[in-house]
Amino acid sequence: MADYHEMWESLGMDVKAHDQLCAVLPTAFGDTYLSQENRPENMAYYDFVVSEIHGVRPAELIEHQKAGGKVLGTFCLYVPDEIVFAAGGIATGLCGGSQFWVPDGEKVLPKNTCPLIKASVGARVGRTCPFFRIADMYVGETTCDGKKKAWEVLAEDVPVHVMDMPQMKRPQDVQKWIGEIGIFRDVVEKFTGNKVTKENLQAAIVLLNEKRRALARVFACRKADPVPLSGKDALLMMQIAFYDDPGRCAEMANKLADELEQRIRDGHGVFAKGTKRILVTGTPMAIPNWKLHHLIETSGAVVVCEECCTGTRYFENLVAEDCQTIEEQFSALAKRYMKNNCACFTPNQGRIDDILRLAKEYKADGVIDVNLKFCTLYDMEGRDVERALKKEGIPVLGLETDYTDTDAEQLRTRIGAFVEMLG
Amino acid sequence: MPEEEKDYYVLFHNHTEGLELYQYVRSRGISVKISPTPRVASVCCGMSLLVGADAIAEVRQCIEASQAAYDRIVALPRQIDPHRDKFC
Ligand code: SF4
Ligand code: SF4
Repeated sequence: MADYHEMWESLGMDVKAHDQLCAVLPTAFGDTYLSQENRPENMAYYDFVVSEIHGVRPAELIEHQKAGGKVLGTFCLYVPDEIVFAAGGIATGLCGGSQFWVPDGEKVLPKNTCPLIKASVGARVGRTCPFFRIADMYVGETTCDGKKKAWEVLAEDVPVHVMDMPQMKRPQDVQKWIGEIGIFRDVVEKFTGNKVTKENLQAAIVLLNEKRRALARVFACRKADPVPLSGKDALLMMQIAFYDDPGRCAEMANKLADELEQRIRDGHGVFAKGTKRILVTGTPMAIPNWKLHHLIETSGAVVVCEECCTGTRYFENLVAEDCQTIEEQFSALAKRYMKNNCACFTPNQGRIDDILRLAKEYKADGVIDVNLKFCTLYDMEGRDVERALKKEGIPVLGLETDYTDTDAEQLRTRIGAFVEMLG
Repeated sequence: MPEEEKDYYVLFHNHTEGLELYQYVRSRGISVKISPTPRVASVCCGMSLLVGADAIAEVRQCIEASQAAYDRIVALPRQIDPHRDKFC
C-alpha cells in the first residue's frame, strides 16, 4: 500500500490533520465518480491521478526540485505558465476546492470571503496539502479584492510575486500586461537562475498550445448527442490539467478524445440521447469541488460545457506560434491571456458573448449560472448573464453555493425543478 | 452480507503493482475500476482496484495466472452511494 507519510512529514505537513482528508476523499470520489456507468476507458488515468492525488505528482515535483528546478504555484488563468516552463520551472495550479481547508482559512481571513480563497489560504497555513508545501514561490494577481489581500497573508509564510492585472481591455491595458509579463520574466529568471530565450519560450508556447488543443478536442466531443462523456468526467480532466505535467496532460486528453470520437461514430453515449443539456457558467470549480456537476447529473440532466476557468476559458485561444522575436512572443502572450473574460474586468461583454456562443455550440437546453458565496464579481455579473440569456430565450437558473454539504438537498430540488421545466 | 451487495478492493504495496494488474485484467475485458483505497480497507491511501462481486473470481484467476504482486483483497459492503451528498 502506498505510504507517503515520510514524504509528507519531510514537507512539514500536519500529517495528522491531513489524514482526515485522506479518509473522506475515497468516499466522495466513489460516490461521485465510480458510481457512473459506461465511462470511457481512458478515464482510468484520471481515476488513478485522484487515487494517488497527494503522492505521485508531488513526488515528481520534489524530484524536479532535487535536480535544482523550481516549482511555482499559481491561482489564476491570467498567469502565463509559458514563462515558467521556458525558464525550466514547473507551474502548478494551487486553487483549493475542498471544505476541509476552509476552517484553517477562516482563522486568518474574514468568514465572508469566498470559499476558494479561504480553502487556498487554509491549505497553506494549515499545512495540509503537499502542493502548497512544495511550491517554492506563489504567483498571485490583482484580480478580485479577496485574492489581493490574501497574497499579503500568504507572503508572511512563502515568497509571493503579484502580477498587476489590468481591469479593462483597452489597447493600453494589453500594453500594460506585456510590461507585467516582462516583470514576471525577470522575477522567474532570477528565481530559477535560467534565462528566458526566444527558443525556450517558443518551445513552452508550443507545449502549452498542444495541451490546449487536446483539451479542446475533448470538449468538442461533448457537442454530440448522445454525449460520450459526462460533465463530471470532463471537469475532472480540467481540474487535473491545472497541475499535471503539460505534455502528459495533452497525451492523456488526446487519448480520451480518440476514444470519444470513436464513441460518437458508434452513436455511443453516457446519457440517453435527448437528455437535457446544461451549460454551466460562473466561478471556477477547483479540485475536489464536484458538487454542482454531481447534483445536476443525478437530477436527470447532463453538463455539456463549462464557461468558467475550469472549463473553456482554460484552453480557448492559442498563443501565436509564428513570432519572429521575443518581443513579438511577449505581445502574443499578452494578447492571448487578455482574451480571457473574467468578471474582474469592466465592462465584460466578452463573457456574455461567450456564454451565448457556447450555449448554441453545445446545444444547451438551459444554463446554470453558479457563483461561490461571497464572490461579489460573479454575483453582480449574474444580472447581465440572466438578462442576455432570457433575451435569447435560453432558460437560466442562478445558484449560489459553497463547499459545504448543507445545501445539497435544496440545490437538488431547485436543479430538479429547473430540469423538469426544460420539458 | 449478500454477495450482490458486496464489493472487493484489491490493495497493493505501490501503484506500479496496481497499474500492472489493472492493465492485465482490462486486457482480458474484465470490468474493474481504479479507486482510492477506502479508509475502512486500509489506513494507507493510494490506489486500489474496485471489483464487483460478479468479477472477483476472474480477477483472482488473473492474479494467479500473471503472478501479479498485490497486498490483499478486502471484501466490503457496497461503499458507493451516489445520493449520499457528502462532498469533500
Ligand atoms: S475567475 Fe478570474 S480571478 Fe478567478 S481564476 Fe478565473 S480569471 Fe482568475
Ligand atoms: S470566485 Fe470570485 S471571490 Fe473567489 S477567487 Fe474567484 S473572483 Fe475572487
